[in-house]
Amino acid sequence: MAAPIAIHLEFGGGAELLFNGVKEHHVTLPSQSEPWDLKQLLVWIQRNLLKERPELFVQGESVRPGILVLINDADWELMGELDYQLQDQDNIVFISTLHGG
Amino acid sequence: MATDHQNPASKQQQPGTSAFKLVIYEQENFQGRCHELTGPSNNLQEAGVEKVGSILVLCGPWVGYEQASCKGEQYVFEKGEYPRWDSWTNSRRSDTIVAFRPIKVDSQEHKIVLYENPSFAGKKIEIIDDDVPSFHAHGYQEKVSSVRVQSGTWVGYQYPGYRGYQYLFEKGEYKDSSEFGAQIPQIQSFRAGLVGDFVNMPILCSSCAEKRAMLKRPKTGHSLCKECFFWAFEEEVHRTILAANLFQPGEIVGIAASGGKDSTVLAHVMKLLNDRYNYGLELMLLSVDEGITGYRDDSLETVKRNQQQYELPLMIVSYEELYGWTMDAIVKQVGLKNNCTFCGVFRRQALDRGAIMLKVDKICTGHNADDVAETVLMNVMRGDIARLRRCTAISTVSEGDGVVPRCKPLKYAYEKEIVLYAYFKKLDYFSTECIYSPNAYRGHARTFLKDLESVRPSSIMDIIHSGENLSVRDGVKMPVQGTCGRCGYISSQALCKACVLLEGLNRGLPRLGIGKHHRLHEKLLSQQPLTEKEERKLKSVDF
Repeated sequence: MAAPIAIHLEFGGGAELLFNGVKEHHVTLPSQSEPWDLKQLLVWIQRNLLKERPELFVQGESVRPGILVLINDADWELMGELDYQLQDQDNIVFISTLHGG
Repeated sequence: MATDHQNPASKQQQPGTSAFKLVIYEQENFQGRCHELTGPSNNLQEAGVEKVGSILVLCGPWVGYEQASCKGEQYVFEKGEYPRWDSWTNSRRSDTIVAFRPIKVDSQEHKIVLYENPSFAGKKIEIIDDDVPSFHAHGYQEKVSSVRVQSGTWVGYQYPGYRGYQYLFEKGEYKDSSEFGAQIPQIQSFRAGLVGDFVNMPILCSSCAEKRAMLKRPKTGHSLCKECFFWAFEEEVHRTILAANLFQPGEIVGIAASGGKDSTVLAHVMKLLNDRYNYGLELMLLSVDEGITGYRDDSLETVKRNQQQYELPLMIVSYEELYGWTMDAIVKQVGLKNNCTFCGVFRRQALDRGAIMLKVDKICTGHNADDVAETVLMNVMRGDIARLRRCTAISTVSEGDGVVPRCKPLKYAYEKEIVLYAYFKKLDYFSTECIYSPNAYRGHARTFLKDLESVRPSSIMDIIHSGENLSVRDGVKMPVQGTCGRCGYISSQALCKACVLLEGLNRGLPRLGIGKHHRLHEKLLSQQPLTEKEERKLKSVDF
């Protein structure tokens, strides 16, 4: 069993609007048999945090194209994307690029 | 940004655990029975694998062995497809692989010392971070009998050019050649640093090769650290400016500033490049206040902070003072269906009016590569040939009095890079969708483009390239540019769009500017009354 892990989530660039306008969330992911990966985190976010219009945040099992994901400040494309295994105290940032500039 | 998390660079040195994955097919070209491995196997035959015909490595690296319990000839596999035996070795001494194990790659630095004689004696050669295709070319012609790996994971090859027997070296000491599995102490080429596909492995910057890469550039696929990315991004904008000869020394340039990501990055980079390369430009910020409570008033606060941060003069022109209408008031009258048309048309003119008040020579806007590609798509989908032809131009020439030339220094900059530039530089920008609903049609084009980009990032550049190279055949009817009979602004009709929209608002006929009512322009200009039927058509707005 993997122990529960505490992580820090941040939504920006307009993505926070789907989460009642709240940008920062400190959350604890419950203990489960497999280690948590980013794919499971997205499901968890959808079930526990996402307040409205899920189609603007997720598409299939990934984030909607146009939402950037940073894992501890690094582009998730360098970190294995959905396969990234979360670790305690990780900092995951979602930034929407779909909003006006 | 939280400041309390651990230093990611040091933390990420711990590679992930269960990521390895390799598929063995019993026949060539991924045919026949297949077996999946996610961890070491000391005896494939016992696990039911009859023979190894082809191999697919989904996550590696791995090493395969000729004999059970990881003995005999070695074969190193990185992520990729190996359809035939000769795609992973050319030694051909053996044709069996009986054991496999994943290779733990735990370091980003690579340092190895090779010794001529056993027990680290005799002539030696030290290699740091570099592949060596031939030791002869390096002046080392001796045998390799013992090896000390100080860091990194290496593969040695019997012959130059990475041929012949392979020997895997992991961190540690190999006192004589039998310890690394060689029968004769001959190694003539070396590959440094196997790269792991571990999910949690940090990747080094491909430019400086020192710092940890923080993003993958969509345009080039390069993985760069923050500093190398900043430099690459800024230099590309600089080269765009030079190549298109966008500015001349001494010019006054207005930066169209909305407080959003694009214009904030534009203002930052323009100021930086103007200083770094002595463009000799006088820069100022130019903003439009559309009069949208809770949206533009907040974003203008951001622009005002930018003004302080960048020490640039700021001019704000408002719809209210230019047209006598705020967007709030316009939406009250026209509803939420065509309001974006009003806003877009008014903004274009407002920027020009502001630019003229500030006496600027040029306006630069924050349009990025994604915006340009999106506009190409939209013009194709709308059949707007005139706009399609000019929408990829990096700058507009002055189209007449009252129109200030515009340019797009970020035309080739991907939105992803702009957002990450702003994020990593901690630039102060505002991001909230306009409360009066985004333009739905553009939204579809945007979603489509983002879907394309996620499959193939170069799509954005390719669409721009297509747009730039389109030519419209002779004989296609184009609107003739003239000037507005009322305000003198450029227009292909008797009245410009802004004047028609305004007339509609002022007369309570909001549909006047929506759709095609060109034949009414003469009437409006000469202030003739409209017929009852005409009025009815323009009033019936079904929201």
